Amino acid sequence: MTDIAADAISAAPAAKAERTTVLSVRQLTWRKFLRNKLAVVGLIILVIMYLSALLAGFIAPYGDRETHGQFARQAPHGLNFFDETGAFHPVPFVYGLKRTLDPKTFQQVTTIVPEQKYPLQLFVKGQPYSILGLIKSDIRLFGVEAPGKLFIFGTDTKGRDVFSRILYGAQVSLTVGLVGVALSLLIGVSMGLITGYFGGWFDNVVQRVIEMTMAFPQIPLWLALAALIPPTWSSAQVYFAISIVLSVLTWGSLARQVRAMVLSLKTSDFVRAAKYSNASTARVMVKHLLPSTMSHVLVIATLTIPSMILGETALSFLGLGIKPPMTSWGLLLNEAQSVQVIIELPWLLIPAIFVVLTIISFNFVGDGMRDAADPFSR
Amino acid sequence: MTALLEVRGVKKSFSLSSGIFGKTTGEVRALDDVSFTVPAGSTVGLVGESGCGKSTMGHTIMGGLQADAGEIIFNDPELGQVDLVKADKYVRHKTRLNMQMIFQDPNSSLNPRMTLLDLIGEPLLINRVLKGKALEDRVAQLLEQVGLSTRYMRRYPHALSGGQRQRVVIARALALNPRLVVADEPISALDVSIQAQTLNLMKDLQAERQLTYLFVAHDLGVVNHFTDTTVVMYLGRVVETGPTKAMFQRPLHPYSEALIASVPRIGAHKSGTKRAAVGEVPSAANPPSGCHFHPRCPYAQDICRATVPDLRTVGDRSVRCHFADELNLAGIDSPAVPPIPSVASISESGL
Repeated sequence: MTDIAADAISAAPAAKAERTTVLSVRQLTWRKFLRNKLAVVGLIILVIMYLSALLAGFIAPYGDRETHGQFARQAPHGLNFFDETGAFHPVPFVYGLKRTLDPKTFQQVTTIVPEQKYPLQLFVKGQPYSILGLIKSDIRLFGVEAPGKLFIFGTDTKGRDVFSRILYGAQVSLTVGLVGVALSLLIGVSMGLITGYFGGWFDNVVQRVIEMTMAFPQIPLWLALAALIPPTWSSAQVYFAISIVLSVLTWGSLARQVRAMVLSLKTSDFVRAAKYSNASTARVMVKHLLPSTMSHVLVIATLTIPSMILGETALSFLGLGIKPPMTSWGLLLNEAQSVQVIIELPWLLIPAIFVVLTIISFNFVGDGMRDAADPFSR
Repeated sequence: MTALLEVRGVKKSFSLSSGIFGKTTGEVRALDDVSFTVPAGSTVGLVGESGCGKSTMGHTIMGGLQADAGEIIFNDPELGQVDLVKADKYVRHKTRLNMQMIFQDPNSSLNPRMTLLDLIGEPLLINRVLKGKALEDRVAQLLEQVGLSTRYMRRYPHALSGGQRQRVVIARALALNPRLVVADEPISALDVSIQAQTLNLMKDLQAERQLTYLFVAHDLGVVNHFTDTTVVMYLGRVVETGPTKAMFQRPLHPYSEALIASVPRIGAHKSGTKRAAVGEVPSAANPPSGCHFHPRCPYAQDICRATVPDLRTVGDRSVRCHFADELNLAGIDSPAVPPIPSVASISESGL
C-alpha cells in the first residue's frame, strides 16, 4: 500500500508519471482483502455454493420433488472405482440396488446387486428443470442410467435424494439472508443517515424503537411474527415475508452504527467544505456521508448474513418458516427432529454441514472485509 | 481601501448542558463583542492561543455557525453590502460564491473517496457554473495555478503528499473565483519545509487574483511575514488590532507582547522568554473577572481585576487595556529587557 502511494508521489518526473497507475480506494481495498488467505478461501467456497444453488437443476441428479418410493430411507450409496474382484474402473460406477423385506424384523433391507454396474455418465437426461425461469432443459450434469440410482447423500423418509434437495434448498437458504440483509440495509442505512444528520425528536423516537426491538427475546419475536404469515400465502410470498421478519431485528443495529458514523462525519472538515460550497443536504448525504459509511456497512452486512441464514434455518426447523413444497436447509433438518430418525437415518443431518460451512465462510469473508475496509491503515 | 468584510460586535456562545434533560449549566462565550475590519486586497491575521475563538470566528463568517448578536457586513460585488448574520439562504448562497475557506488539515478536508477532479470541481458543479468538458478544463487550469500536474486530475488525495493535498484544498477554494478567502491555520498541519512553499503560493495567488485573506493562525512568526493587519484575540475578545509591522515593533497590549516574546528565535537563548505569558489559558466557561488576561498579566493592577477595559482607539490601532498609554512594551526587535519588576506580584497572586 505504502509503496504504491510513495510511487505516486515520487512520480513527479514526467516520464515516470506516465507509467504510474493510480489505484482507486476500491482497488486498494481489494488488494488488501486478497492478502487474507482465509477470507479468500471463504469467498471461493461461497462463490461455489451460490453458483451451485443457481445451477441446482443442472447439477442435481434428481429433481427436488422426485421420489424414489421403493428406495426410501436409503443410506448414502457412493461411487466405486474398484469392483468386488478388485479390478479398477477408470469411470466410477454404482451398484444396482435391490429391496427385500426381512422376514424376521419386517424391515426393508437394501442389498447390493454386484452383477449390476451403472457407470457414471455426464449430461444425462433427467427431469426437466429451469434456471431462473430462463433456461429450460432436461440435461443434468451427471447421473446413471435407469434403473440405476445415484444417492450420494442417501434418501429421506419419502425416498427423495438428499444431495439434490440440499442443492435446491440452498436456493432458499442462501438467498433469504441476502434479501433480508438488503432490506435491513435499506431501512438501516436510510434511518441511520436521517437520524444521525438531523437528530431531534425523530432521532429520539427511532432510537427508542430500536432499543425495544433489541430488548425483545429474538426467537419468540421471530416466532410471533412468523405466525402472523397467513397459511394461504404462496411459497414466494412466504419467502419474502420470512426475509422481512429476519430484517426486522437487524436493521436497528445497522441504523445505530450508521448514525454513529454520521454523527462524527457531519462535523468533519470535508462535509463543512461541501456545505461552504453551497452543497445541498441531499448532496452532502449521498455524495459525502453515504460513501464514507459504505465500507463499514458492507462489512456489517456480510457479518449479518450468517445470522439471517441461521434465523431462517431455525424458523424452518421449527416449522414456522419456509413451507413445503419449497425446500430450505432448515426444512431438510426439520425431518431430522426426532432422536429415532437421527439414529436410523444420520445422513439427514448432512444439510447441517452445509449450514456450518456457509456460516464459517461468511464470517471469514466478513473478517477479511473488515480488515480491508480501511485500506490506508496498516 | 474599502472594507470587504466588517465584523461588528459579534457574539457567539455555546451552552453547556448536562443530565438527561439537557439542563443548561453554563455557557462558553466563544466570541464576545468581536469587531475588526478586513480591507479589500489585504491580508488580515487573526491570532491567539487555541480556544480563543479564532476558528469560531472563521466558521461564523462562513455561515457554519450562527452568531448570536452583532453584524458581519460583507461587500458582495453583486448584492452590495449585506449583513451575513441576518442573511437568508439566498444571500448566503450568493455570497459564498465570493468567500471560500481553506482548512487546517488537508487530510480531513478532502473526501478520500473523490478524485481531484471531483474535489476541485465540486463547487463549480454544485453552483452550476460549469460542467462536463469545460469543468475539466477549468480544474486543469486550477491545478496548474497551484503548481500541480494536470495528470493528477483523476487521482485520489491519498496518492499525494501533505503539501500537494493542501494545494488541492487551495485550488478548490479558488475554483469559484472568490474575493475573500478565510484560511483557517492553512499551514499548521504541514511540514516546515512545505509551509514556506504554501505561503508563497498563497502570496502569488493573492497578487494574481487580488484576493483578500483572513488568515487565522497561532504562529506569530508567520503572521508577521504574511499579514498586513493583525487582530489579537484572547478568550473570545479582541485585545488588540493594528498594522502588523507597528504591532510587532511595539505591542500595546501585554498579551500581544507575551505572544511576540514567545516566538522562538534561533540564537535567542534567554532574551524574550521572560516576557512570555505564564500559566494556562483560563477556561472559557469560567473566564476571569475584569480584564480576562489579568491573572497572567505581569502589569495587572486592581482595576484590571474589577473592570473590563473597552477597546480603545490609539492612532491607527485599537487596544483593550487600561494601561495601554502607560506601558512601554517590548516588540520583536527590541533588545533583551531587564526582568519585569512586578514578576513577584504574580507569584503572590497565586498562580
